[in-house]
Amino acid sequence: MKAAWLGCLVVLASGRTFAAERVVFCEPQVDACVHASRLGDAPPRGWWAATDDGSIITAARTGQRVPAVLYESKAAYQEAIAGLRGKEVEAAILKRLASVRERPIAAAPGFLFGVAREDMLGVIRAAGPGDQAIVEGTLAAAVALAGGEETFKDLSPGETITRAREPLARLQVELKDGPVSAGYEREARRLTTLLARFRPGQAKGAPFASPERAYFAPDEPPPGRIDGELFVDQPWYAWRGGTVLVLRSGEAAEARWSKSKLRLMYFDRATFYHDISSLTDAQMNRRLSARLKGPPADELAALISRLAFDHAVFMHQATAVQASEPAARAEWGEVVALATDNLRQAIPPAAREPAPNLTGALARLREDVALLDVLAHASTTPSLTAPLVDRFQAAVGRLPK
Amino acid sequence: MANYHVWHHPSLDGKPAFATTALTVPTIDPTAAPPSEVKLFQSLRNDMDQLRADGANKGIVDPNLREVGVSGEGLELWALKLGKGSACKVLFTGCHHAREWISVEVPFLVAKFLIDHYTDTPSTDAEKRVKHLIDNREIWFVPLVNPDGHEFSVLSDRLWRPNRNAYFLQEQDLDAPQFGGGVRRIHVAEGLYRGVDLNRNYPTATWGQETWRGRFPTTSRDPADAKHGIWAGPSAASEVETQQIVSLMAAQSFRASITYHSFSQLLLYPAAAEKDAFVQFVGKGMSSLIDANGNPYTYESGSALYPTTGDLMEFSYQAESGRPTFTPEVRPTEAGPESSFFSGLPEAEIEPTFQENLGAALALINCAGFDAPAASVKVTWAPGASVAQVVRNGWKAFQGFSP
Repeated sequence: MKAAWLGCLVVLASGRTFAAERVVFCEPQVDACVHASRLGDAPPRGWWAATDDGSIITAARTGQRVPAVLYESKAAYQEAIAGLRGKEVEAAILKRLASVRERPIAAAPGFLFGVAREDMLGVIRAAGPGDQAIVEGTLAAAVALAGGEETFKDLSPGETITRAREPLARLQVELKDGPVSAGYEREARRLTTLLARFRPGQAKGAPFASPERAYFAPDEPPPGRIDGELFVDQPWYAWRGGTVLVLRSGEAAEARWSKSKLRLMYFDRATFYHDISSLTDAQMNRRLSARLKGPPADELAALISRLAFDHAVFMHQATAVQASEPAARAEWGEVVALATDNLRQAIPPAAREPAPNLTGALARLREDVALLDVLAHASTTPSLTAPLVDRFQAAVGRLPK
Repeated sequence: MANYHVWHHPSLDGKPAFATTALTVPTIDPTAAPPSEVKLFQSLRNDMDQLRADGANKGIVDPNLREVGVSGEGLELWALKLGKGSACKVLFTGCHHAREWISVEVPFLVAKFLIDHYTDTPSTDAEKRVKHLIDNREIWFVPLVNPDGHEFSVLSDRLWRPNRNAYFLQEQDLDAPQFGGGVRRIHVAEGLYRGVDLNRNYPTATWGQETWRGRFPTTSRDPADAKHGIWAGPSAASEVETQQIVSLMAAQSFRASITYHSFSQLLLYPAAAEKDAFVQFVGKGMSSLIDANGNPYTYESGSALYPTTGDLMEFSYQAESGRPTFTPEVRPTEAGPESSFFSGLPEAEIEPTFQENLGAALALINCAGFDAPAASVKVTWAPGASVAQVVRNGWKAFQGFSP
């Protein structure tokens, strides 16, 4: 009762309502779950439920235990359990719980950082031509969340440019010859020219890059004890007598992988890696069966958005070139601006839901930041997580209203 | 609780040894957003300087040796030269592979243990044995052989494995010799390729021969495998970091060596030493010392794990034939969660990993003074601890060794 009353107070005092509905795991003695909508039981561990951010924030501010956030939305939860029955759902929830608990920031699950990135992408996507301040402010917030400019302060200018070029080459490979690629081609040329000032030997050509996809090899037995994943970072999953594994596109074409029998399952190796580490076998079977027809069409677009965003954040975060000679500093500034423009071109419209307008996107970002802030302060290592999220929240707070 | 080291970071400038800084680092889970983990790190530069000063005050560390060279990016390969017995030298190395953070910590903590526990007036058995080892051996520590790769692993890619050197290659076809015979033709696309696996780059007799585990390459001549950290490089000892270790070995003629890696909980010996009675004697003894801590490591040939060419252990055995040389693959086991592999090993496991490897490390230092298994060593008694006495006492001399 006390918790519910305080929950109302939080909402009233802040003048805000909490629209987002999270799916959390409730263990005994977690008061924040008292008014949550129970979705299922996993005795004796507890149950899972949908609740709003107000209840979670109230729990944190009144010194109560904060429930583990399993899914950032009810829709994500429903997608995760679709097609599962009875105990399969419970097993999926417990695996998800273990995955969340394994995360380094125990009470502030890593996926919320991912949520924040999606929110920031949403803001940039919704920003119009006259909203440059919003875009720059959002990237500044992303830099704060990435640890600030201090992180790469010690890099040499040459190494900074090198670290910008390599992910850019990967992004260009994914973009191929589409309309967005021309902008990135200009950016790559500028970076190569700039690199020639510091590392002429490495400015002779572009970094090698190749797409990495997950394929199903029906006749390929799973690797042995020290497998590809452990040794060469090639995640694999044994399925239907064969193996799903990550290969470079060029490598996939080689005879030893029997190209004719390979089936493309994932555009993004990271999504595949995430699935095999956080889903149950029942979930994997369902997901892979659906992907036998090919990966979802929007997966490649999501990969490109992520690569473009991370590249733009690094360009804003790494400042070593700015601290070098004036001519290089000016040139670097122009390339950073180009990276921002390219990012705005590279983000496709949201595919899965109606895209919010800028006001809605900003509201979503602020709402998620509020929850992230609470979880960071309630984490097992608040002295580490809270300052970071405080800086992020402050940067978001500086965004134009 | 111990923390991981970075080579150094500007936020640790001017701070005392063993101070920490919070850095925002990517998680080992590549699906998470880049800034999703905050960890505390110590400066290896500051802490090695402190160990050097502490050891120099006791007269057991060379105050003038700070590094054994620099990396491709100009970062020093910090080093310590500990001990008074220059006729009998031992080499400890760590972190050939950037993402194997724990492999920095074990040799660092072994050095710290020896310096902290050295006294001119030993009273306990442990103190007497530490004094014996330091008075009769010269022990070199290079805990971070790959500082460029390690820094990149900390700040940018937690699964990065090779160094950070780059080569611009023209389009070409390359015929790569295969270990055991045959040739594979590789088409190399034009481009800049970054990252040579230092532990495939040593100038062994077999350098550059490709090895496989099933369809997975474990030593590759294809520069496109650089990202996976198994590219042997364009030529033997092409990398400056490799050259530094090779030069050090040539100058010092180490009588024993150990190079730490992770993971799988194995103690590996050179395949060529399969029937070497002395190496097997030492290795099995070290294995028993590790196992006595209750967290066993499998003792096996390096080729049983997976075949490789151009690695340091193979090179060490080739350079100093008959001398003990080993590769511990420390925590975690393969049964652990994937998030605990490589740089994901929790800080809480740093100290236990060191503790379970300490006895074996000290036994190896001790064995550098011998040429044959204990059964054939002539035991000469003398007042106080002697080299022979330690061997006569067998491996139990180092069992349960702790501060």
